[in-house]
Amino acid sequence: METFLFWFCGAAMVLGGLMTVVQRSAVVSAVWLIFAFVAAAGIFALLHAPFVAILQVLVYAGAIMVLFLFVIMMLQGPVLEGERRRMKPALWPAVAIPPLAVLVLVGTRIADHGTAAFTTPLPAGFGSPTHVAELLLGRYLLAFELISIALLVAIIGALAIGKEERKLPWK
Amino acid sequence: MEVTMTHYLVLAALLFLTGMTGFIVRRNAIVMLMCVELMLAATNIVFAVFARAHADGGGHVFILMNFAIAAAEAAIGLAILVEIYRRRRTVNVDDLKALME
Amino acid sequence: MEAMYAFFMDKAGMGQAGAHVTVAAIMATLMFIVMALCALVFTWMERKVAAFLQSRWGPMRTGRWQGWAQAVADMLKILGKEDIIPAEADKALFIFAPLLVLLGSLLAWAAIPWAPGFVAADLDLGLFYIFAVSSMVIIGILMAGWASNNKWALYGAARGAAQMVSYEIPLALAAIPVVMYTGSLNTQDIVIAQQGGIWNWFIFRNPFLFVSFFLYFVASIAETNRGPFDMPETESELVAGYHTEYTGMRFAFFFLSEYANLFLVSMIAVLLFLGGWWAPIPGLDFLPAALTFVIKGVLMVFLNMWVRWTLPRVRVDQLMHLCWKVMIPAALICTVGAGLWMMASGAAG
Repeated sequence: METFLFWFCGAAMVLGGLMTVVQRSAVVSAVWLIFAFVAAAGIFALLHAPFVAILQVLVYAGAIMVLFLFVIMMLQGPVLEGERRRMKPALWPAVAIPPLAVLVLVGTRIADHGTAAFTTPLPAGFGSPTHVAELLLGRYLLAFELISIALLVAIIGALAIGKEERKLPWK
Repeated sequence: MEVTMTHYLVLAALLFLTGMTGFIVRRNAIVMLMCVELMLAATNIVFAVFARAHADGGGHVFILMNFAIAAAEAAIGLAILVEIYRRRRTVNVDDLKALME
Repeated sequence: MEAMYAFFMDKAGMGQAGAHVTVAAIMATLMFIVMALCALVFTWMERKVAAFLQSRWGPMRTGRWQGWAQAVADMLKILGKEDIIPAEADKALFIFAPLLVLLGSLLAWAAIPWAPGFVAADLDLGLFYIFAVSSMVIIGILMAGWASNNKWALYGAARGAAQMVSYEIPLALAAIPVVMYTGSLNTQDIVIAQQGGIWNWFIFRNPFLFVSFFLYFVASIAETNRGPFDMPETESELVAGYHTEYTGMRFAFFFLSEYANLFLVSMIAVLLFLGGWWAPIPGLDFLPAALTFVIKGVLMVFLNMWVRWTLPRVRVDQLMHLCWKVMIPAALICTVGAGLWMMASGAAG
């Protein structure tokens, strides 16, 4: 069962990622990206991270991607219909070779050393909200507080950038 | 075939490479931001894999941090794009070369 | 549910995986039928409630008693309509959007505990899961508005998405005090914690929870895009909002999803604050658990309709003001207050 779910979610996620890159329309790209994120939630669930899996749907698919879709729709115009110029064919190898090289490296490494299985047994309640919360408000309290300040700064920054400029008398 | 740690890591690598290629190939700044989100999601999977491998929830905590970073990045990035669009009527990065010439 | 698993594994001789798939299929079909039924009942009920509040009769002719067959007639009419896809529409997204909206509601229904042990998906993170999958509805609405390629649809979708994303925050914050009391996100555990008469329901546990209930109720009205917060569908400005271009079966999906969401938020209100399947007083114990639950849910739906047909529509800026400057601070105060109350009364561990 786990094997089937892994291949199913993994294939869905790779498909979603590829379609995000390939589709010419920004809206269709965003929809495929949402698809990939929902599949990623499945992968998290398989990795015994249920809390993270649901947050993935709630935060990524439910909030961040809604923001993206919102902005795409707000800026509707011919610009967003797709790329106007295709990439020069001469540049294709330059784009394709680095990822392929990485994949070949990874492939040879796996061929030499084989695959590594999960060996450490998991404690009960691993990845549950209680478990994550205890870490978040205990061992990682400082990081938690800092990230909240980062978010606050981001909110203020986005407001400051996005605000319509008022017509000032000396301008 | 049993699913091992390597499978998950290869999946994450594939996603990261897809996002990276998309970031280089696409010229629409909004789609480029979405490719960055894809790369962040790939790193999140790696965090989850190692949290599972070491039975340590710290990985999950850092996924949450990554969510916050992704949200902040999307909010600010999109605010900047909206502002650019207001001034230049485009979000195509090929047209935004005022500093290049 | 255990009995169902046992039946399929022992009597029908299926393996564990087979039994799980069969039970899941049965529950999904059941949920879909209940959803369609409740859309039928609620359309009729909405018309009668609206008529009653406006001193009219409402539908009287179809069927014999109080025009009960009006909803059935409406449904047959909708299914018989021509299926139109606008020439300028983005075809794939246009077809996919109503399905996504329906999927979001249907997935959330899976975690509703109808009776002790009878829940399609008994998840440890049930409540959290419900909030997460209902956010799929927002994406469906945005897609519908965009794909229609129509300015009213797009405005409706943009308003709807802004409103639903904003009101999700007070909605979830209002549920947090309850989760603090229960110490679990499992929907069944939340109901079980309210056993023993009306005074053990979470709404009456302490004053902060009482306020939380009303915050939840107001947020849930906004979340279902119903009056007085029905800006996405204002017929006087936007024709019909994001589903302006939809006809026939595809429109029926939006319609079904609207009533399914209405019943969903009402049932969540019941399971969070109003004691789920427990009877309010000992004398009413003879009713089956599921019936008690549904009756409470329908009463909440009635309250929702009452509000819709009584209050005038608010403006967009008033809506956002209410959410960000009133309800979110109030919900945060309630969360902290409920926590302090728990510590003071010794309920916290």
